[in-house]
Amino acid sequence: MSNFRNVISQLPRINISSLRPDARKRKTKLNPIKGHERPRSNIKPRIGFAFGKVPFQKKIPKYGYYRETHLKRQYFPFTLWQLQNMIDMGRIDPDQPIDINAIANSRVFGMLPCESTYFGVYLLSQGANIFKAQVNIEVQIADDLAIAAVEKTGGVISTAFYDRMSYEDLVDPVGFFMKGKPIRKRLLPPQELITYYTDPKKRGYLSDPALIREERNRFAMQYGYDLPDITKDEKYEMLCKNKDPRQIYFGLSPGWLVNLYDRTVIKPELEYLQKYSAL
Amino acid sequence: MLKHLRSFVKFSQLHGQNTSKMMRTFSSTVAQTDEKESVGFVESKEDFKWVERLLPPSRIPNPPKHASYPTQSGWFPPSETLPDKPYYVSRNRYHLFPVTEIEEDISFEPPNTPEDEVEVVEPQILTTITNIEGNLFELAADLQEAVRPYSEFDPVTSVDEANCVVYVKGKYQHIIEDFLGRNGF
Repeated sequence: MSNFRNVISQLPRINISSLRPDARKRKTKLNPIKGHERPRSNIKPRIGFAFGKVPFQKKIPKYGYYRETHLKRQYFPFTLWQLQNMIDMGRIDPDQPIDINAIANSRVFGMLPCESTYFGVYLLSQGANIFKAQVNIEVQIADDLAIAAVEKTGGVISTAFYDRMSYEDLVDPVGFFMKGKPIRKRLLPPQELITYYTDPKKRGYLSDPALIREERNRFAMQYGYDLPDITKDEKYEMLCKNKDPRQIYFGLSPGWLVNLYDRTVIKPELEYLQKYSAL
Repeated sequence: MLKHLRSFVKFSQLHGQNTSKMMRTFSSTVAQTDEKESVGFVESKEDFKWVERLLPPSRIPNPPKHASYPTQSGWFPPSETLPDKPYYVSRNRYHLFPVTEIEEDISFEPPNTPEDEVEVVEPQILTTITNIEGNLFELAADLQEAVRPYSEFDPVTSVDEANCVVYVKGKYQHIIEDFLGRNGF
C-alpha cells in the first residue's frame, strides 16, 4: 500500500496538455451523414467544366471587340498651351526646328520607344488664345486652329509620317546608335494616310509647296489675322529647314553609321550603298 | 527538317555510304565568296554636331530670363527678396509649387480579409504642401484663412512635423498656389 503511494507520487500529473491521442485511432473522419468511411480524394475536373451542362464561357457567342487593336495608330495629345509652357520653362529651344525628338528630349511626356501603338504627336488647339511663340514645328496630325495659331505668330508647321521603326529611332536615338547599325530610310505612309499627307490644307510633307502658300493666305482670311511675311524675318533660314521624306534625323543620311565613342560619323563609299542612301 | 536529316544519316551510315557528300545536298545554298570586299569609308567629325543635338539632356534646365512676368503660360519665378514670414516654401525641381491633390486610402483591414468583413470607407481627399522650412503651424493657420471663403465647412489642416508636410482637407490646389504666389514663394 505504501509502495502504491510512492509510485503515484513519482508519475507526472494528468492534464489535458500531458495526454496524447491514441496512435491506433482511425486517421480518416467518418462522415456522419453517409455513416461509413470511404477514401477521399481532391481530384477535380478541368477549370470551367460544368458537369455535362454547356459552360458559361461557351454560352456567350464570340465577337471581335479587340480584333484590330494591335494595328491601330495612337498619337500623343500635345496642346499649344503645353508647347508654350515648354518654351517658357526652357525645355524646348524655339531657335531650332522642333520635331518628335525635341519633344521627347524635353521629358515632359513619357515617350517610350517600346510603346508599340504610338506613331507620333497630335497638335491640339487648346491654348491658341495665349500662344505667342515663333517656331518651326513638325508633328503628325494638327487641328486647323492649331495650324492657324502657329502661322499667325510667324511660324511654320508641317505634318510628316514616321513608320514604327523610324519613330523608335527618333524618340530614342542613343538606344539606336548603341546598336551599331546604319541609319534606316524612313518609309512612305501607308495607303490610307497618303491623302492626308499630300493635302496642303494639313500642311502635309508630300504636298506641293506652292499650294501650301495659297492655303496659308486662305487660313489667314478664314480665321481673321494678318499673315506675317517670314521671308523678311531674321529666323527665315531656320524656318525653311525641313527634312527629306526619306530622312529620319536632321543632317544625317540613311546608310551612315554613328560612332558615339570617337564622336564621328562614318559614311561608307560603296556605290550601291550610296544609291540606297541617295535622298 | 533536322529529324529527317538525322534519320537519313543513320540510313546511309548503315549502308556504308559516304555521308559527307549526301549532307552537302541538304546544306544551305548561300554562295560563299572567298574574297572579302574592302569597304572604303570616310570618318567625319564635323557631321557629329547633328548627332549632338539629338542627345537628351541629363538635368532639368533652369528657365530662361523673360522680359516680364507672368509668362504667356502663366508661370512666374519666386521673388528675389525673402518673404516676411516665419516659414519658407521652396519650389520643386520643375520650378513649380509643391502642391498636390491626393486621395488617401484609410482602410486598415489586412489584405486577404473576405469582402463581407471589409468596412467600406471613402478615401480621404487632401491637398498636400511639401518643401517647407520653418514654422509649419503658422503656415497651416495661414492656409486655413486663405481657404475659408471657398469652403463649405470650417477648413481643416493637419501638420506632419517629421516629414515637413502640411495637409489641407479638400481640393484647394489653385487657391493655395495663388496664396503662395502672392506671398512671393
